[in-house]
Amino acid sequence: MDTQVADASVNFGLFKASGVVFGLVLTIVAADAILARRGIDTSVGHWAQAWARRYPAFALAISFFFGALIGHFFWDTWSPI
Amino acid sequence: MATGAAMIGVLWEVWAATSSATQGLCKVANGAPFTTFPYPSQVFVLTAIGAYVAGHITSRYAVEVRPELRAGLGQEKFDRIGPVLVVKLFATGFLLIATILNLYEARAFATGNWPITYYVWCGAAASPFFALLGAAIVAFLIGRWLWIPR
Repeated sequence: MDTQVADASVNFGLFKASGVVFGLVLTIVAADAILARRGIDTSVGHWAQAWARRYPAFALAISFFFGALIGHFFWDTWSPI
Repeated sequence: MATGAAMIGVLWEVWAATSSATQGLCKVANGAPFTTFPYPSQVFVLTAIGAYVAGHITSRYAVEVRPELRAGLGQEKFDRIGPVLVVKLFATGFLLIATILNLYEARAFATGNWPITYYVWCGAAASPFFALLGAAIVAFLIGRWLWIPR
């Protein structure tokens, strides 16, 4: 089977996919920095944990979703040839 | 500060690679990218599992040092209405965006466009290190935030 190199048009899609992941992390880091600058002793993570304590079923569902997402993306079970 | 600088550096590197390449960054066959990454897929999966567990373990230390953080949303230290509404808004917004992206993914297969999955596969083939880093960071944050310590 002949393989080809992907079209150049996919490159911006690659940037968008990585931009979402790493951009979200950057946003969280920025939010934590703002909270720290204001002298607030709770971080974004502390509030996320508080939400998870209040809604444990939702927390479990979202954890499962991300686990399934990582397995879907990276657990190699299919090849195009 | 260091983490923010690192993330900006990563985004800059990804932008530089994707905007300067004269062709795509991965191999395709039958219109779909290969899923045979430079690292074995088990590396990605086991790294994500390890990061998830590491996230939980680090969160246990945090609540042992500061037991006042064991409160739920709307209780004790987390009872200010403004931040509570912001957190609930983010949670709802995240679920809405996840739904929209899943609908886009499903529709992409029907219309013949590349689904998001293909872009992730292409990115993992082009730079398995950044794909591994992204998976590990996400898994670590999920373990730290959602696998709540008692």
